[in-house]
Amino acid sequence: MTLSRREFLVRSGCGALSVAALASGIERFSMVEGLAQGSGYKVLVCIFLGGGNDGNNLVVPLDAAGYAAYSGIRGAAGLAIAQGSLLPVTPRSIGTEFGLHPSLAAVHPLFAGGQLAVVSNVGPLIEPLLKQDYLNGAPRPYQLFSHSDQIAQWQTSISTSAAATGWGGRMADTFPVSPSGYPLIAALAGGVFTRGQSTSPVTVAPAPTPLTELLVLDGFGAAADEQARLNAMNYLRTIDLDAPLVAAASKITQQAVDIGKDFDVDPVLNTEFPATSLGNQLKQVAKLIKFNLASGVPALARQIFFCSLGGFDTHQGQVSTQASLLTQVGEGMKAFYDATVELHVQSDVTTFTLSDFGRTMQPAGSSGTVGSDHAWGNHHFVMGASVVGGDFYGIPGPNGAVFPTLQLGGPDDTDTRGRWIPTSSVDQYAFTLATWFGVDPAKLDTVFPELKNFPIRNLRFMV
Amino acid sequence: MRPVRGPKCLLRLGISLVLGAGCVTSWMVATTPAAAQSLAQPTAAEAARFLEQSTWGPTSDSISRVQLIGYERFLEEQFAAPMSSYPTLPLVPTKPADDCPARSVCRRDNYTLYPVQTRFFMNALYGNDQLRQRVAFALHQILVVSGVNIGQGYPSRFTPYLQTLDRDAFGNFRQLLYDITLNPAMGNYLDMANNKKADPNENYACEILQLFSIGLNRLNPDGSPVRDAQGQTVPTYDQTIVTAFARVFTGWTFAADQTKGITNYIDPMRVANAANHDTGQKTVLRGITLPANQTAAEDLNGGLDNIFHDPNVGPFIGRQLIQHLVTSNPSPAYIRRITRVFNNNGSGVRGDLQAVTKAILLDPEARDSASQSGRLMHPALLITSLLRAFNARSADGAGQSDGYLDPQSVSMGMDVFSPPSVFSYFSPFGGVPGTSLRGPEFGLLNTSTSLRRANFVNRLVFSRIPSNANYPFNPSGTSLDFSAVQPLAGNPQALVDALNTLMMSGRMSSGMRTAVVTAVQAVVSSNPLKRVRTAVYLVATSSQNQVER
Repeated sequence: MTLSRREFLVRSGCGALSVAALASGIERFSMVEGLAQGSGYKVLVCIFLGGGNDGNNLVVPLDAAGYAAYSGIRGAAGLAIAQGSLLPVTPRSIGTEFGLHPSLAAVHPLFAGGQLAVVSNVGPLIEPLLKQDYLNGAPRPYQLFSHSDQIAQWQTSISTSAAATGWGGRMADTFPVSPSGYPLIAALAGGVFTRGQSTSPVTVAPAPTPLTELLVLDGFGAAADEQARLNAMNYLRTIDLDAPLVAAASKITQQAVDIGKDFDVDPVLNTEFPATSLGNQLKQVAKLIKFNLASGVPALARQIFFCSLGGFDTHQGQVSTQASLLTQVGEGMKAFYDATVELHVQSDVTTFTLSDFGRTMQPAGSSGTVGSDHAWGNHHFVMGASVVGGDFYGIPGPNGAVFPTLQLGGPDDTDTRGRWIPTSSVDQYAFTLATWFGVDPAKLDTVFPELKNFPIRNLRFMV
Repeated sequence: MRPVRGPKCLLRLGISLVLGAGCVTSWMVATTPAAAQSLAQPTAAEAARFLEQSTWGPTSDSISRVQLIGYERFLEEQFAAPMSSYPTLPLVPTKPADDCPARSVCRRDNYTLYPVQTRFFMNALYGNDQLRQRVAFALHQILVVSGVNIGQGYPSRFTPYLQTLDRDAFGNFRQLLYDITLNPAMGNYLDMANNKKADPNENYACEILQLFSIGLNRLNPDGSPVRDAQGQTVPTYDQTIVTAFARVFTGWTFAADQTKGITNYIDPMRVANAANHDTGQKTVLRGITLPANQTAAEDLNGGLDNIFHDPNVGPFIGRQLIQHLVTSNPSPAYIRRITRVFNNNGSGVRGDLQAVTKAILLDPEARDSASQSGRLMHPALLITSLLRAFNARSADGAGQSDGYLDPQSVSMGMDVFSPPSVFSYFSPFGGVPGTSLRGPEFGLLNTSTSLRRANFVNRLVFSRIPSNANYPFNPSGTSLDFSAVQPLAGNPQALVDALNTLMMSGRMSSGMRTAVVTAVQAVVSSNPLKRVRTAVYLVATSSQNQVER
């Protein structure tokens, strides 16, 4: 059975176990320590926007021609955001103004402050793809425009076939295992992103559940008969493993019991978080970071967190739904950034968004019920003090810029509804983050098996 | 809604088990080799196993019943059992009136899913039509409407959807597709309501193809993917077909208001304005065209026929029904046998769900425990199985549970009738971590929920869910009744053997039996209730119990 981190420290400290028995543990322990000393602490936080966030209303061109193209397509149906209410930003390398969705007021200052960047028209690709290639039937990700498949492609960074592991899990696989068995990836929500070949995430409840109550088995007192019951329960997890589903379920429970022992304090944050679904998830992430730094034995040098917020599948009623959800996203992200400042880790923590897909530039329906349908390329946020913020990133498209041409049937459109063909791939987006995170370069091709199809690997939005 | 009762002689058998601690009745025999099984006279363990697949959990009565009449007659009884149903509720204004404040009974019954969720658990705990409820819930997980969106999160709007599933569970799949397509809650959920020619909405078109009928890839009758010359899977459709079906489904809106100003979520959707339907020609699946100038109803029926007759429906739907009832990993041969029944029930009828259900449950692979890896119980089934095994009672033991169990299920990751999206509570394609096997329910099992499962068991076994007269959500509470097994507490081996049959259909290993018996023996014999609780806790929390196989 795996030692808890505290047991490990106590036992190794007092020499209760023989050196031989500890040898393998010490070796791994040292690797973690060495990593921590060698390259500092680094954390990636993924926020998944479930349902497909409409990037076309996340970031809107504000220059006269750009806004006219935008409102020309979306205005009549009632899906265009008024020019005056968009929150202006000026990407350094573009020079003309863009506007963020008005519900993003909380994070808006971070763009000019240099802690927030936009990666533009990114999505699953097998290889770089121009419109003519697309129309000629060049290889493209399987089952475009389907929720489940595009979710999988974003989270696995594999677009040729369904994959069982995510790029978060595969990144985690490349780092040494903590002697406690505490995985460096934690899930606040479900998703294949967190699953590796050898890594299983610890899944925890969001705030306000205290860390001390996260993984606790109720109902065992000190009485001999209750301890006998506990012993039997522990034993049952170690037998009948020839039945694969039984073995898998027992392994998950075993991991929960092992890790649960470690959470013996509930760190306090001064930063206020909104009491929303995402706010509570990000608050728990901040608390887990503080716990790791203050109480982790040993502190993990790398951590990955996965959060998720659903509801973005706005075929109808998009105007109010997306506004409400993006308020939650903006306020949650800003509180989380503030918490990283409070913990002095704002340069060590990078937060980024993923989503099923972008949505059609052409509206679906009109007036009060207007929405948009499933599409492809999308715009995403990256946040943190190690982000080279204040700019838009990506591979320039047919118009020479990273931002697509907002034209139905235009050079970036798959058809006539404004489904943008991505110019940057999930692989490039993920690789840029993984490189900053310090994944062994020799292992990056294993983590991102399709990256080899792209001549440019790093999108350069990280320091 | 009384549980199925066996004749008195069999009831006595159950009692003799309890009273005659130490004497071996057929009820207590752990396992019988598969080869010796007979469809006509199942052992108690075999009957329990059949009931794990066909009901919301075996009870001593239902085990006796299956032993008495056999699988086939039990199924016939189930097919004929009157529906438990979900009563139609009055439609209400979108915004609650002032005299319907938060935390009131009015708010509870009209603006939350409380009435349908509690009804679900009451039906599962006490209803006679166990198999219908089980199949209807499986169909809910395939043809999903979720209460998460405000539009259909009102119980009065949700019940017609549940009534449709109940009514069509043993009917024809084509009828189910039709009824679901025109169900107003579905119309709201996937935006088919008010889908107009001018700007067709693709949502329903996407999901009826991908999730409700044929799936994304061409399948062989045994469920395996068709491969092209390059070994690649073959898509069943592309975006042009989604667009075509979006046009097929134009023109429908809610039925006329029953009460002016309150949208009609009771009656099927209708065509109010024929001009909203796109009458152009459409090319649908397999190159078939729906001619121009058809009415909305003609196009709808033509489109649904086109989907229904796709050869993918049998393996796509059949495999999922097998997964929900029997095993996460059916063999290709099992799927092929079910596809054959879906395609033709023996009387030339395609899509007969009653015949499909029967074939799934009587299949040799379902009846032979050695041939399959089983299926992890989802939280709702975990709850009902534990409660049904021990005579689900109110908190004071005097009456029935109030059925307010959804919060328990939520804590384990499953909010009944409110899955996160149209992709349901978990994916039928989901894998078992660390293996190449499928295990859809593992989508809800993680470090957090695995302990919550144990803590739920702890709460019910060692305590109860109390009633609370001051808060109208749990008027009666819920508790377990161990009176039937408590007389066995003096003989830990007999106690554990009885639980092995009732809770684990006899699949407990000798190692597990020894461990549980040892823990029971650690409790003083003068405390029989704690002995029983110890044993039930250990069995109910074990992976060996939660994986039904």
